[in-house]
Amino acid sequence: MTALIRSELLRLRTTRATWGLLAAALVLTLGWEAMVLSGIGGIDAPARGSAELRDALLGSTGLGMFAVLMLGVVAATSEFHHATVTSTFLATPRRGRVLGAKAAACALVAPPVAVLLLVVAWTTGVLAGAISMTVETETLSVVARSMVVAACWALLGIGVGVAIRNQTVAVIVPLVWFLVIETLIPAYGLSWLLPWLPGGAMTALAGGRYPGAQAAWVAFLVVMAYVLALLVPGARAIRRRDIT
Amino acid sequence: MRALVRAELLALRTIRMPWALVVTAVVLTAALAVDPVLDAGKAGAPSIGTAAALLAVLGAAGRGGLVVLVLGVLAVTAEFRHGTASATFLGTAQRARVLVAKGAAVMLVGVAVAVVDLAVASTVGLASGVVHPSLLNPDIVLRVVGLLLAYPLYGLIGVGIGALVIYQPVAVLLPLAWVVYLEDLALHLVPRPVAPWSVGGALAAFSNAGDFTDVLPMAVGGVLLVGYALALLSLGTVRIVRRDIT
Repeated sequence: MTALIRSELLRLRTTRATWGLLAAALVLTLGWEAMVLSGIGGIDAPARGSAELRDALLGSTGLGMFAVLMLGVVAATSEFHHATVTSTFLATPRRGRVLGAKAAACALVAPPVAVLLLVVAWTTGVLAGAISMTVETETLSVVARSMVVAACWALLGIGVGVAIRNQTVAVIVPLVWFLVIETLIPAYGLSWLLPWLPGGAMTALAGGRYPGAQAAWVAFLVVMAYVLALLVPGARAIRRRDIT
Repeated sequence: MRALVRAELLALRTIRMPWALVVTAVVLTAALAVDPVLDAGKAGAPSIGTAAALLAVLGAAGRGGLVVLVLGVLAVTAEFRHGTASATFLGTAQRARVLVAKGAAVMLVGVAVAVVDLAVASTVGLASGVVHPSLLNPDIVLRVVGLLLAYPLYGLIGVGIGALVIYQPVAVLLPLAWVVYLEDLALHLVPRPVAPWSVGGALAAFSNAGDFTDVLPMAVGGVLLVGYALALLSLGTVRIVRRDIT
């Protein structure tokens, strides 16, 4: 199993998609951060040097998490897209282990990515003179929480990829789900459902507050339930599937 | 050329993906049209019987264009995804003609989807009493016409992007993310006068939107959208024409 995880890490390290997604995460984070910074002094915007501004700046890494989700989706689906899955499953006939290794590799890679994004966001904020250079305990707790959140996004991506397999569809579905479907939920009077949906649970896990939000550990369990609900049937289907 | 367009229409008609996309467009439009009806009269939402509610329901037809955009992307990238591009370009060696035919076919489908989406939104509106003939005025008609005419243009933009970025997942994700989310983010970072000239700004102008700052005249918006579509299609054609196909 260790060898499998190492080879998945090698693959992540040496394919272009990983680095492209990392670049996308950086651009998204910095783009959002620039927007927050340009809003300083505006109506309702947090003041320079305040804890709210620090949270808003560190929170800009949340947008970059979409790229981490995509990393999971791509890791799970690209072998099917490029048809390399045949040789992979010939080398490791126990297909479940391959999928497990992919999940483990992504869950290992995601937290350092989160830390990198936070460091970039924090440094940019300090350089822009918006927050002070002292690192408070809250900042460290945000880092710890973000590492867990990033791993969860990556696992969710793996789950979606394994369940759907068609890379194009697997890439669009989360976009539509998080940007369209979950935003329409309150209009249909289903707000009570939100804490139990993947997006709502991830928000609660990341420390976002909204009416009915779960405690972080409940949100974590909800997210893990979704990961398993996607991963287990998906893995079963892949195990029994004809691979050409 | 006619034969090529017919062949593309045959392809679109006989594979599963376009039908799934049309269903998506209908469901999306229905969901977006029902939303303002359910919200009507609640905090901040316009009441039934106002022009604002009518615009919100008919405006639901404005998002289906994104589905046609995806259809355009898929019309090109599927040939590379499934390796049929070789046979297609052996059959019609002038690759530009193939792309033009794809563009024409997707635009035709776009018009059809637009009509269906308008029918869906109107049905929701009429059934709920939000759409009432006495509320219609030329501005509202122009808005709906603009939204619907944007469908085929979205399709053309999709074909252009598909030709430019033939890797299917990226070619599908990028324009969707751009239109739905990234453009707004990017516009915060550039000087304000740029905004009306963006894709969203051009669409707002072309669809006679009243809620966009410094919106361009409707005709300029239309020309700008056509310009974006043709520019992307030209770039994509140049790329495809010079590409090694395996």
